[in-house]
Amino acid sequence: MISLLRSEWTKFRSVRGWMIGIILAPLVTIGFGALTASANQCGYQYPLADGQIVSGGCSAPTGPGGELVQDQFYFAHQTLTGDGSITVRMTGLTSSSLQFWAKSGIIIKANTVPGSAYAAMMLTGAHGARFEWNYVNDVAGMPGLPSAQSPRWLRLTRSGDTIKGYDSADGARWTEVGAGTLAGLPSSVQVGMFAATPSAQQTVHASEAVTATGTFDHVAVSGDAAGSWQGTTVSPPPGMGAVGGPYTGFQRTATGFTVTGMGDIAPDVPGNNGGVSLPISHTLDGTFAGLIVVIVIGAIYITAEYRRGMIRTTFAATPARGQVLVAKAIVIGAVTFVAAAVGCALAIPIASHELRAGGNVIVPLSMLTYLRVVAGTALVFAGAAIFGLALGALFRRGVAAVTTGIVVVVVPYFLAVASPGLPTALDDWLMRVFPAAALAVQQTVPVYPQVPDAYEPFNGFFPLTALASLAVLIAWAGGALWLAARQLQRADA
Amino acid sequence: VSAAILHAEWTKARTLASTFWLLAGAVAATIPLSVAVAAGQNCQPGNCSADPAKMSLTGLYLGQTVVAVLGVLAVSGEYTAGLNIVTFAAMPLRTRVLGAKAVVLAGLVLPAAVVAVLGSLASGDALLPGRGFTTSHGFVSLSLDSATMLRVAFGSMLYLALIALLSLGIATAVRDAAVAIGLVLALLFLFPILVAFIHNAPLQRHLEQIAPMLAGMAVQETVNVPSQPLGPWAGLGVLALWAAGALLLGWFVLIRRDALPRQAPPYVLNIWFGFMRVTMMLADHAQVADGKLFISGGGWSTCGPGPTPCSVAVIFHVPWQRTNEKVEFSLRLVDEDGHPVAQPGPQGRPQPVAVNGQFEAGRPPGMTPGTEIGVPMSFGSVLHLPPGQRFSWVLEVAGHAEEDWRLSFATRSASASASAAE
Repeated sequence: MISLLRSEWTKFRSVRGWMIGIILAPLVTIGFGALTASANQCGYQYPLADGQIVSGGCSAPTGPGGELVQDQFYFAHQTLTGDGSITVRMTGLTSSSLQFWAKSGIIIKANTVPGSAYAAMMLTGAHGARFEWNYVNDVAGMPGLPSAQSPRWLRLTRSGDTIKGYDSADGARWTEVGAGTLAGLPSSVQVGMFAATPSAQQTVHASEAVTATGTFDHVAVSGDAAGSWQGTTVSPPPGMGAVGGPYTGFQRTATGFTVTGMGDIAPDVPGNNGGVSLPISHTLDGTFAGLIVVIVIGAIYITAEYRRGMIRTTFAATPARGQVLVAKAIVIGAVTFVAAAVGCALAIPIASHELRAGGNVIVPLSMLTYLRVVAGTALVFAGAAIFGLALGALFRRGVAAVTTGIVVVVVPYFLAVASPGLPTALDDWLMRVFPAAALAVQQTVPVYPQVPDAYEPFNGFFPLTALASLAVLIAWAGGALWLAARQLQRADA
Repeated sequence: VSAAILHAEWTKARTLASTFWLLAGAVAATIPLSVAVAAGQNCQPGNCSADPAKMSLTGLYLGQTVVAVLGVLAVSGEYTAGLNIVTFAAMPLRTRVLGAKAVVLAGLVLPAAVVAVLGSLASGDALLPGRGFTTSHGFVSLSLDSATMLRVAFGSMLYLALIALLSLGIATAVRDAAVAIGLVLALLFLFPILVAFIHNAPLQRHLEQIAPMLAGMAVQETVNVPSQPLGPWAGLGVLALWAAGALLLGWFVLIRRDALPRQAPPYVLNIWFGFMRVTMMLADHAQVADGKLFISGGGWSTCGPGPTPCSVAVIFHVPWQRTNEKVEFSLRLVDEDGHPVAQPGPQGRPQPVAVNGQFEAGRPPGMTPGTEIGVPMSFGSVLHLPPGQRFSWVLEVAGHAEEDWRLSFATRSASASASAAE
């Protein structure tokens, strides 16, 4: 087998066109990625009262866990020092256009700086009471919307770094919804009521300011709370989203308060309404250009032998034809893996640099995740090359093999991502069944149930997990290889 | 494009079983996908901006790949089978051959396109109104009774034909069929993926205007037509420019390949000139009279030392396809190492022994087509060659040499000639 591998490698190495192709694949991957990256701009620009133009790139605050977050809401707050609690009764959550994830309730937050640690007990537009902390954690409480007839009681208690959330229908019998540990929470924190709502997604006039208003009474803060209620618009950096202006604020009523706010307190998910971050997969937009190249090389690697009659010599030297095919698969797979790994390892920093230069925000990438994305994408390339090889052995005609390879690998992805008007169910099915599903290795941001959004391949989200998706790819490449080996044993060379 | 060439190309295309299966495959790939997409729609009034005409033709994304294969195989199939050489040998006028191929290809694709497009639109017409795409919501009716829908239907058929021509052009230029189809599909599908990932409206719009698939499919728009990057016919025009450009490139590569036969890969020439057989013989004397060779003392392989009369008799057996064409040849005397052998020239200076010439085999009137035509020639000289060495006469035709187009002989050693004299 070693000598077989060596002879197949020698064959591959000695054809100039194949070597050019295997170098071309990472180059087009980098090139296309850099091209789309350099074309993408993100930023804001608006005139001040004196006519001066203010502009800048996009940015997003970073949460306690290192992830990018959205942190924009209206906050009526007091300072609480040491342990304590806040209890309120809510009799309403209303909005000009009530969103499923409109939020209003009580919150304990390290300070009013966007991205700081918090824990909140809230009512939502369609998902009942929730206990959320530090952006990514979410626990469901009682269902239902509050009203004057059916109010909801909410409570947060602080004890050291631990904050517990409770809800109740009558203010007497309390249920603990959840507890969160906010590491390093300062002794003095801000405690109070808040309101936020993501803007409407499906409406025609998306620019209309959508606000949500929470109605509170029986407001009680226990512990060392000082000062009167203060109103603050917790807002992202300048230019990033509406700050609220005249639309938001808090008002004292006869029995309590109303707080009106806009924005969201949630992870900044790529493609999310109001979010700005781009997924890592956007630095690898050139993947498909590279995949086409390696499919062609994989197919020609064997069809060229058929065309020149070389295959007879090969099979005369090694009568076990299946072994020849396996040796070829190992050689083309390994060569492609190495070339693609180098290409992806370079494409990510190059395209990231281009994107940042255009003011874009990219989801943070740890070294381990970077290596995983590079290795995973290189595996997709290797799988595509082996798939092309197997199709070449199966059809013996370069045209048939390359066309089938591209139709199976590239066209479903094109239909799912770049062809508008397809039913979502079909999109989803395409990305589960065809080898392009394996691009799930490029997903680095988890799906958050509390962020209702466009979890689509375009935004770097894939229906399958990375491992399951690689299994799909292996099934295609392996299945085709198995069929090809069977065919080789039966047919004449 | 003459009728004869068209007929020849038509016959070739028609007799290939793959042609029929590919055309049927194009239809079979188009309609089911169109039906699946139409059946999966659920358009809520006021919340749906999709274009029903375009949607019911979604299957063309897949169908066009089969059409592209047909376009590539129309020319690449011949290269792999060596048939193209026959084409171009029989028809030196390559421009016309390429033109005939384009006409035949378009003629084959259009009927399949009619079936695929009308089938898709009919399924859309049957399914989409039940899924919210009704005329009362401002959507166009998919039945072919409006100028808009006639434009969509006719334009989509032309779209497929143009994709075939684009593929033909690229395959002519690239020659390796697998690489050619890879290039065509990359050209079609990479642009839209690229456009999807660019969040830059002006650049996106420009790409949509130049991408062959996106521009060509503009002909299917029925919603917000004025705000599209390109008008329907202008879009199809862009695709037509791509196809014309590809054909032009293919044509250019084709005629240049002819003008520089030495640069063509050896296997092309092998097949081309392999059709020409040559008979060669060494003789004391040879002469051509009345189109026949008269040879005396023929067939020797040793001579000398001393001055030796040496004639080379050659018959070029010109195949019918290569008649009425000027063919250049050269005959050179080389030594064992392949170096030219020099002999005293007219002024006593040594000159390499070589004959360069050309001939043209005419077709005598009334000759049966396909007949091989013999062109006899003779070259006489007196050689002064050193004893005890081997020499060869080497013939090249149009810069090409075959293994057996050579005559080898040896000069006797001085002692051998002395003993022979006794």
